[in-house]
Amino acid sequence: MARLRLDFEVRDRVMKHSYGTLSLCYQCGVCTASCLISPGISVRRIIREAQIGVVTREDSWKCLTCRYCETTCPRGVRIADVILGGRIVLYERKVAPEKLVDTLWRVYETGNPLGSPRRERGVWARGLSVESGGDVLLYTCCMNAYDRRLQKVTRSLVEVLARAGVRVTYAWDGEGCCGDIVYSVGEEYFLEELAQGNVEVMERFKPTLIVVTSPHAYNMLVNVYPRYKAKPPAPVVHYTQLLAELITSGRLKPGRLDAKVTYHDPCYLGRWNNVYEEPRTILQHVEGLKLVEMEHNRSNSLCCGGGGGAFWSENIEARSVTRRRLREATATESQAMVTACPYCIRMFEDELKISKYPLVVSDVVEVLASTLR
Amino acid sequence: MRDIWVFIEQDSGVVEESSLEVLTKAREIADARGYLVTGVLLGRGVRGIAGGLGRYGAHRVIVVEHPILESYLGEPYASVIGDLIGERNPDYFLASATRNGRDLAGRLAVRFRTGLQAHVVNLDIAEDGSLVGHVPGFGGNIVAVVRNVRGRPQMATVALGVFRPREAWGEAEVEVVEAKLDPSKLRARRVEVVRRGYVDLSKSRRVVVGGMGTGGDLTLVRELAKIIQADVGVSRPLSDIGVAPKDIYIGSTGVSLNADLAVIVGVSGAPHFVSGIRNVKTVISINKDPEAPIAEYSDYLAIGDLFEIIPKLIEKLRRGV
Amino acid sequence: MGLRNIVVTLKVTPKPEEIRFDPVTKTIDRSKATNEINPADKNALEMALQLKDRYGGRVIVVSMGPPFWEPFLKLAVAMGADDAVLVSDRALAGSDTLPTSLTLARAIQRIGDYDIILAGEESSDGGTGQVPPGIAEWLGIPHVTYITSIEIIEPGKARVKRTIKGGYEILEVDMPFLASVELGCNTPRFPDFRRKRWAEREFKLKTWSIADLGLSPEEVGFKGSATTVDTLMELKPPERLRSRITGAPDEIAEELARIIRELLR
Repeated sequence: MARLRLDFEVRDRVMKHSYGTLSLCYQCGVCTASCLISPGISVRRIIREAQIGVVTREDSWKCLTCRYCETTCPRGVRIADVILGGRIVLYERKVAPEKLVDTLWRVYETGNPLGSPRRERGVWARGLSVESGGDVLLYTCCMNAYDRRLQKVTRSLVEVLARAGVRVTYAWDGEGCCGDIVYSVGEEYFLEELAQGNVEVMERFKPTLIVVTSPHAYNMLVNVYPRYKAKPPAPVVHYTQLLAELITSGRLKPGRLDAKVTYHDPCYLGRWNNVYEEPRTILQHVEGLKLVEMEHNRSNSLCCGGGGGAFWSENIEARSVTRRRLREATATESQAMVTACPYCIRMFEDELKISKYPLVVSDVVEVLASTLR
Repeated sequence: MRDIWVFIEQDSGVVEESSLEVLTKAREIADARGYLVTGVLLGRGVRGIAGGLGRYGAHRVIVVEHPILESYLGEPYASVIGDLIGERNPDYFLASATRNGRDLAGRLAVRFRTGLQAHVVNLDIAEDGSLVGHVPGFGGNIVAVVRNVRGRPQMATVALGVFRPREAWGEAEVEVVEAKLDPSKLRARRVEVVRRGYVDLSKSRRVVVGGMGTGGDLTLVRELAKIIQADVGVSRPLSDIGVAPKDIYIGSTGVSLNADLAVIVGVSGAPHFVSGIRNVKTVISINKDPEAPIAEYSDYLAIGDLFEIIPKLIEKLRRGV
Repeated sequence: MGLRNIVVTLKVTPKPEEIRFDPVTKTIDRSKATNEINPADKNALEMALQLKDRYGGRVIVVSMGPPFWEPFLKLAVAMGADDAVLVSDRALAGSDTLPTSLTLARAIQRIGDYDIILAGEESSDGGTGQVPPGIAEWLGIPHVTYITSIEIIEPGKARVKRTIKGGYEILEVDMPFLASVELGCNTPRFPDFRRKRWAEREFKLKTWSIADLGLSPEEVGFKGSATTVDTLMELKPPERLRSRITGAPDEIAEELARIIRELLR
């Protein structure tokens, strides 16, 4: 039998990271049963091991940090935070998966996990009305800035905001990765520098509002940065929140689109940050658009399979999660699945290249923009 | 009479084909100037194959035999060849830019304090007798025209697959020289060798390459390859996830193709990949995404679903070819 | 089985895809390219650090380059290197691989007490792969190229795995020796950012000139080189037809079959 070393110092660290909820777990195992990538990992065991300070397993990175298990946990354990806290310890012990370490290097050397040149970060915005004087600072996800397909989303957003008379400003190649992937890997010291550096860049623009394209960036700026002595200089909103407000206040009037669509709640927007209604509000204001809900929606929505670093570690098991969600979308007989996260779009579209579901994936703002042209 | 020496790499009696490429090129240069070409062959029991090297361009071949020399080993090879160079003082020394060729040349160049051009994709001797080569750099996008200015022999390693070997001449004169080697004095010794069968894609004339768009399933790629008598290659991600061995991934850190035809299936065309297909004569790509970067680097881009197109393509080729 | 010094040669290179070539002046513009530690050297450094983790010893990084390389050497220290040496001198400008290997060999001799010297197999800019065997020849020690792993089997002797065509070979080598490390054979550890801060604020790396190494200007730089660059040319990738084939799968397959038959004729 393997010898275990109980380490209460480690337990205390994970306890702190989970806001004290680690001790609430009474090992019922419902988390493992409801886990979307089950039987990939035993969530219950990871929590038990953390409780006695034994944190050694690399399979912690199989977790998508989608928090689906937290909706079934009878005790309110912040399971994703237990996992993320454990990863910080594992990283120190050099247990992190190699592919993810490569990603860290790319973020450090080029400011984005794709490894694309820093200079080209603002290329997506060429020709658009992004000025230097606006007081609303746009903060794009690296994916939205560099990925050719996702650049369409970013451009649509700027287009729509211009229509509504919102003066958007942008940091161009001064902008850097929000650090979500760094946090998912469990590295803290580079993250601290990165977070403080990003906030410094934002401060220079003296924004009154910061609009982010990615729910992951939203989560980092709002929930994680303050832990690392970095506080964004203005309130942070996800663009669906801003757009919903512009629509309900009458500053933006969507056009018409005759289609049947379903909305997928990104985990980091929905379960992580309770933003469920605003994206739906936008869609509901489009004339002719019929919005239907999937079997799992809002707080018990299913994950796209890309969170927690899974997109970057090319976690093949997570693809079954992606397919499951695509099947649910297909079951609603919608023409399109609409969502509001760059990773969700990439996960679904990459899977559709291989599996053949009669479905198109779109972003909320792309749908909106198409009705305004 | 100037003398061009060419290192003939061999392993257990099998000559490395790229050495023959260099030999033929050396002979072509030599014939234009009235120089001599000498092959340098080290090995175990290899004198029998030395004469045949003449057909590829060697006027004569110096053979050194010893059991230790059966496969390349840095120290004895550099020692033997270095001694020969020291005695006979050739004007030029060329080797194919294989791992072993570069290993050997790097050491010899310092021993003789002479110039060594690396991995040349073109080669000639100028009027004044200096070796002039085209040395690629910066991922192959830029080529430096380099000249040897000092030292003797003037050295270069030659990129593989750039020149073609030809059998256009007669048997070579063979000279067998005794090896002055003391195996007990060697500071590095081979303990084990493991070899698997593999395909050298850089020599393939036709290749079908599968990328992530195949989802990791190479069945259709293999069937198409079989029908057009092509070899199979992959893009790096497929090798990384274990679908194919490292030997067959195409790209800047992998294989560089020199094929006449490459059919690229489900590969988006990132810079690291496309540098591996720059020397392919005709590139046909099949991709679902009309804006995939591979479009810029293809002669023909078929836009559609590979899973639907390829079975039909195979069917039509089967009927026609 | 303690090791003494494990020396790693390190080069800073621009990312190849970001280099711009000016066809008019025929010069290379590196100014807009991101600089990085030559990827294969990172693998060499990681191998050295793993040796230190396992067998003890000190990892010392040595570079021949301009002063702006200093932060990269400090990054190597942040990854775990114990010391760093930068050989920097105007006279070194224009050095080809001959004076480069000589300079590095002299620096390594001055460092002394080396059991193993590691170098990346080749650099992403020049890519000759000639410097490592050259250094070994200057130092009069054995060398092995393209290795993927090292194990110390007894004091003064190591076992290395070397990639060969279609497989690998295992060699036993006497110390001290030099080995060039295959690109991608390991995952370089991400730097410890606490150590990085210390390296930036307090650590002082050693800077040597050629005089410190007992070298004269004639032995290095353009004067000490045995090759010269006459000119540079851009090697444009071949102009492709970029012809698009669209339509139903059957139509596309028909057209492709026609093209392929034509080509195979």
